[in-house]
Amino acid sequence: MDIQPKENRKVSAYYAMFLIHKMQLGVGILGFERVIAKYAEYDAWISIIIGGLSVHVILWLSFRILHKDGNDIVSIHQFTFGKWIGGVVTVFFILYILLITVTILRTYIEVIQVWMFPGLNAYVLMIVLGLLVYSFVIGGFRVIAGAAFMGILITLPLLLLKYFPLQQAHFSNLAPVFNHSIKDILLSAKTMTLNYIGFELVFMFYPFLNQPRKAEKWAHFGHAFSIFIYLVSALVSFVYFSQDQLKHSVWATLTLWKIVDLPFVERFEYVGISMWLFGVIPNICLGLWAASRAVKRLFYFEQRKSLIYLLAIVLMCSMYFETRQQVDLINTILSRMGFWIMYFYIPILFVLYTVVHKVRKKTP
Amino acid sequence: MTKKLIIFIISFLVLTGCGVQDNILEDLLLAEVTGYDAAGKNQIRGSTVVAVSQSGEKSQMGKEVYAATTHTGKNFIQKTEAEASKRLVGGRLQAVVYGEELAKQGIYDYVDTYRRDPAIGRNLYLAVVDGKAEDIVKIESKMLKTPDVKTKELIEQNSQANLPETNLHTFLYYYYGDNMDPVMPLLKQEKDHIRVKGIALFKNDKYIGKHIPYEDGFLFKMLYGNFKNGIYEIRLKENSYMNIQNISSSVEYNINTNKKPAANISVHIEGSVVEVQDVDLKKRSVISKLERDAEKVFQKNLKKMVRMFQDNDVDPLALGDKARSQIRRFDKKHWYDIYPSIPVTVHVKVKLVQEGITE
Repeated sequence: MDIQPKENRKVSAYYAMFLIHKMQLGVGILGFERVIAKYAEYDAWISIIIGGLSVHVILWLSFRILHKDGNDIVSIHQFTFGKWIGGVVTVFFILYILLITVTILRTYIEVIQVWMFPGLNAYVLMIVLGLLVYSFVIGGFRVIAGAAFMGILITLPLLLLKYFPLQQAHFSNLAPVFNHSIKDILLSAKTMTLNYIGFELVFMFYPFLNQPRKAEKWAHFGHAFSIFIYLVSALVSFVYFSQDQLKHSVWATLTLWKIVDLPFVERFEYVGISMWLFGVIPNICLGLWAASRAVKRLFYFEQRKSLIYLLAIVLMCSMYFETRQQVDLINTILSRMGFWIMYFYIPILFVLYTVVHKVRKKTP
Repeated sequence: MTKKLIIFIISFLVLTGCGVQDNILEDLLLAEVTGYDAAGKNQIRGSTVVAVSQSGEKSQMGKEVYAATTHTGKNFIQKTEAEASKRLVGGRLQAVVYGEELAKQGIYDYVDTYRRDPAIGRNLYLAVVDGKAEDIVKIESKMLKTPDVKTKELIEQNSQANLPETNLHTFLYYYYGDNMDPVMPLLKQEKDHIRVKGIALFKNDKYIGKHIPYEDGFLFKMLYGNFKNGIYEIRLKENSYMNIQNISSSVEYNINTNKKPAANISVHIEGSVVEVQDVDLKKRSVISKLERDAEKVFQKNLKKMVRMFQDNDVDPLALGDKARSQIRRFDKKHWYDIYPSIPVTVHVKVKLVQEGITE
């Protein structure tokens, strides 16, 4: 049951940083500013920090659970809830991961449709991306970890583009600081959780990390880096847009790319969106890998085959959501689910797991 | 290996089926400047000048004008296609101009279409035309000697000196922002030329019919934000004038947060004397006297300008927004009521640093 991956399929401890960071930085960053500014308005950058710190705590809890037996969530569930109930909970976890994957894929395709090619046949593009993802995932976890690293490397320079909007910045937008009630700031922090979703995959790839105790530190670095990037993006958007204007900007970060005016390319958003594919592909790969791995562990199903079925499910679900409202809907559902899983399920699991662990140790 | 190759080849084959419309430059008409005019009975008249690429390696771009009268802004593009030989695209649109009459009725709808359109860049220039927008569009089509788009170049060049930076983004920023109002350049056709007449003042999206004259654009920019460049002419006495070139100018707003709000604007300007009549520039005392004189003139004119804004109940300086950033629990509705009656003082500090290369 508790099959550990072979040494040659593991990755170094510091990859935890790339994996966690990459998974959090999906498509949300292209337009999260409007959502988080809904309650706390331009004090929402405080919410990013508060939300981020709370996720640090959850991440710490997750590692406390994982360090105990050094195994993934499938066996943790079985250990805590028994074979049948544990299996059912794992199935829910798989569905949750698939939902993350669908949301990322569908939102990215929507961006391409709205910003680049309105006449795009989404099905065909999805199938092409599906083939790409398949060839990555089939290569195993190491290939995906490499893809995540490359994805960060390629998309990180896009942060330099913040220089252009800063030239027209109105820094007075941020003043006065703390002009909103604690309640508003916390509500905004709650909407921010959608953007931190994704670190839960550590429950799947934990056994694949060499020296997992060292990896914990790197995972926290990765998450801190995500907070930093979200913070910079939000602050730049806040000083660039006036408040009502931001409310009307669905993709604030993308709109910022629009004003980048380089001598050799007048419309940078086309370059940016294309480059962002490298930021999105590893996420989809990771999601599908985690889901297919969980299926393998749970049902002893060959990962290659389950991958094809899961890929088909993800693609079909993505095709099902067509309009802006539907895409918004899956984002809302995911953010609610993510919120509950992060702040309720993981702490509860921690408590139960610790209790069961103690009880079982006493009665061998 | 063969499996991967097959996947690879299939991806290429499938990608071609994505159904993306290809845009070949020679098969398109690129809109450069679009104008909107009111045409009575809820109708508008849109006109657009397009670049038509011609065959031959070094041949110039030809320009054509299309116009149509319709009910909605974008519909006119559709209507013009009835006379166009190729597809009309807006990806290279540089400027949109609005006729005076339409601007007075409100232009939001005709800005909004550009905001929504992902093909449009953010540094699209917007301007109001004293007269008819169609005239500017027609003149633009005759300006074949300037290789680029004249209307755009004109606004861009003047943004260095006497015009504030105004484009689609700034318009939307000030339009959506509370307690602030946008401005736009005011253009005028003069025989076969286009001239910047001044800065058109808006209340929300409606042109209030008043403008700041071109010469006073310098004063407006002093208040609008920190800036460089620009020359201002100061009348010292009867028949005696001094030209100050701005090296750097910075502005600071202080809004009193007491029960009785009051605003204080202080401007620091560093400049050099370009030209002065009947004055000996060798003596330090003369220069400091010039500085004092300039301060007086600036203060008087700036105060007059702010007064004019308050009298017309427009806030292009975003005074209300500055108040919001300095006052906790700012009440924006209350601010609307008191804005015209707020006492505003202006302090100017002038420093003359260079007087040219000769003494």
